[in-house]
Amino acid sequence: MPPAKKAAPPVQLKVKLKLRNRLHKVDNIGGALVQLLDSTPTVVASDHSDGHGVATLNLTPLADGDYSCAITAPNTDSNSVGPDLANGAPVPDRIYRPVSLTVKITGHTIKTAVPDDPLAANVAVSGALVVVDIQPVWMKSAANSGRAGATISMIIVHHTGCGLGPAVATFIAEKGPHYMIDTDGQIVKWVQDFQASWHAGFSRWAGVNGINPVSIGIEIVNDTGPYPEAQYAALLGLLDRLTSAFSSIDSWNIIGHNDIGTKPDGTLGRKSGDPGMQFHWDRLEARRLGMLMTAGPPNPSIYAGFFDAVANGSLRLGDNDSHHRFGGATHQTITGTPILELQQDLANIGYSLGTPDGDFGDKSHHAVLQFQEHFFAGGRGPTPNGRVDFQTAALIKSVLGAKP
Amino acid sequence: MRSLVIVVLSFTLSSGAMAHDRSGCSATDYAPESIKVLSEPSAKANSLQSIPRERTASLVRVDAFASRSGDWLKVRGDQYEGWVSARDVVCRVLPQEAQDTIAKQAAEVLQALKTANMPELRRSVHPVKGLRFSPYGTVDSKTDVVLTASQLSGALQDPTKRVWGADDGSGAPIRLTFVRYYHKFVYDRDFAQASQVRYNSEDEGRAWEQYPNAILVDYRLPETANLPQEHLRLVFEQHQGKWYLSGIIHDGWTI
Repeated sequence: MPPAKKAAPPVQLKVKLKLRNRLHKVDNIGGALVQLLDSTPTVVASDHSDGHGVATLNLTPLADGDYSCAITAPNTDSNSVGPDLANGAPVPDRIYRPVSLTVKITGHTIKTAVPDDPLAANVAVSGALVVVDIQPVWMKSAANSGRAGATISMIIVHHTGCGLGPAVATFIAEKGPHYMIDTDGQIVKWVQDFQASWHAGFSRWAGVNGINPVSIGIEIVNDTGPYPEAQYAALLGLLDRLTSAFSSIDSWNIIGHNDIGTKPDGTLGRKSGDPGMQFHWDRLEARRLGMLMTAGPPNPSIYAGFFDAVANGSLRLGDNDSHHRFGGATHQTITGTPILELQQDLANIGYSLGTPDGDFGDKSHHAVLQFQEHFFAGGRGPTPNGRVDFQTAALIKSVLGAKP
Repeated sequence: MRSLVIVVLSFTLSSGAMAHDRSGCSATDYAPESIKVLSEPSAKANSLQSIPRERTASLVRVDAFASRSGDWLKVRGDQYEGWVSARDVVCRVLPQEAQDTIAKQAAEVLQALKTANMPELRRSVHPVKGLRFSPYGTVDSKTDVVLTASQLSGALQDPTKRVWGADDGSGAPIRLTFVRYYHKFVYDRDFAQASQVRYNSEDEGRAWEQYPNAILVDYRLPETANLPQEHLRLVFEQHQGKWYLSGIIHDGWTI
């Protein structure tokens, strides 16, 4: 009589969920609670992810059907990203969005897993492995220091000038802003607001040298091309939350990195192109944020009547009140001081150009360029050239007239 | 002996100094309405000719001369040949001519940088201006460190820490030894593998601000998954008939 066959052990059908940081995939999310729920809803399988970000669920007893899967990282937040996020101590290294997936199980195998909020996670199902890349809202950066008692009075808008990957790798360790707005409009916070982030470098605005201690930095992920609507919506929402939280912020001082980035001697232009000519400052102006303009026709006699005297003329580099050199040529009949007036106007708006002296030198030239970049951006004017034609002159007066 | 030599020029040029939107000679914004052509590269030299500012496009560049009081260009007109101040006139070398002139020398310099061969590198250094090291794409003639050829010889072993500029994010001084600076702001990636090499391209906007009459050789490494695009620019300036290396611009990503 042949020996009795040994009973086969029951098959354990398990699935592994690999949890990662959506923006920095080398970050494994350990300690996350993963729960599979049926329609009642009762938890039918659960596990915590290990140090490799892997959670294992036993699907053996589960019938075919739809389930939901809740993934809760050790630190989660579902609110809008802003000053309320990660403002306590101690602050964790990461905070993620909570994730809920709709899961279809057939034959003890996950066939599909779809996030209920597509912005909260990306999911890829491959056999017995489900990779879930979860959106972070807080990634602690080492690039910060104390504000040394300074009050937050400014918000600086940047663009990354590169793709997401290099930006994230840099922001974690080397330098970066307080907030980053991704191309899909999602915001990640990197540095607590009461700290200074390292985003502005050498900079000057309205007579203040070194803008990092007095500002909040916002980086918009954009290399070239137009900014998506989702980014404007996210930016405006974030600005609302920041200006509400910090009454010390002067809305006039919501400006671009190009407006403030200087060489050590105070010459602007170091950050020309940031956030660049594609950025629509008018979107902010419509909400009374940032520098504004007054309405009304320009006065043709501005700047000592230069534009009356020289048709289609432009004040420019090399012009000098003392030498009566205006528009690149000598005009003895112009007896006023248009260059000094121009310099005083730009300085009063906030631009760095040294002490106004009536000599249209390199600093004045770069101040004009950055003014033009700000107000010509978004299709409102031609390519900046650093020359003050009547259009630019009238604009300078208009902006100055709007300053509180 | 001071380890740092700063070549002081009586003036600097900026992008705005150039009414320059194409190759060839043109008047700067600083130029008077009548530009003097002199017999020597000196403000005290005899005037040979005066040319209207709008006629500078007809000039042909012949040579250049650098001095501590400023740069000079030797130009040829219809009926004269002489020197004009580089404050008044810019004469850019056309891209193809730039490549023909400098490609071999630039390749030798790049190889010297790749192998950190300072004796080889110093052979190319400008005898008057030295070699300016710019950690970022925006050249700063006031703060960027300039080393002479002789200072380069032992630079890799020099324990002296210099301030090479300011960090683009924190604004803190970049205080490093030469060797640390070299591996972070000169040859931090293998530019010999550059996907693109350009000669006197219009795209080197910020470099033209400081080096309007130079030949600029740009080595570009493209962006990768975790590394941003990066450029290394070699600056060659002419002096008494020869071209010398006068600047190394590390144009990496800045915040």
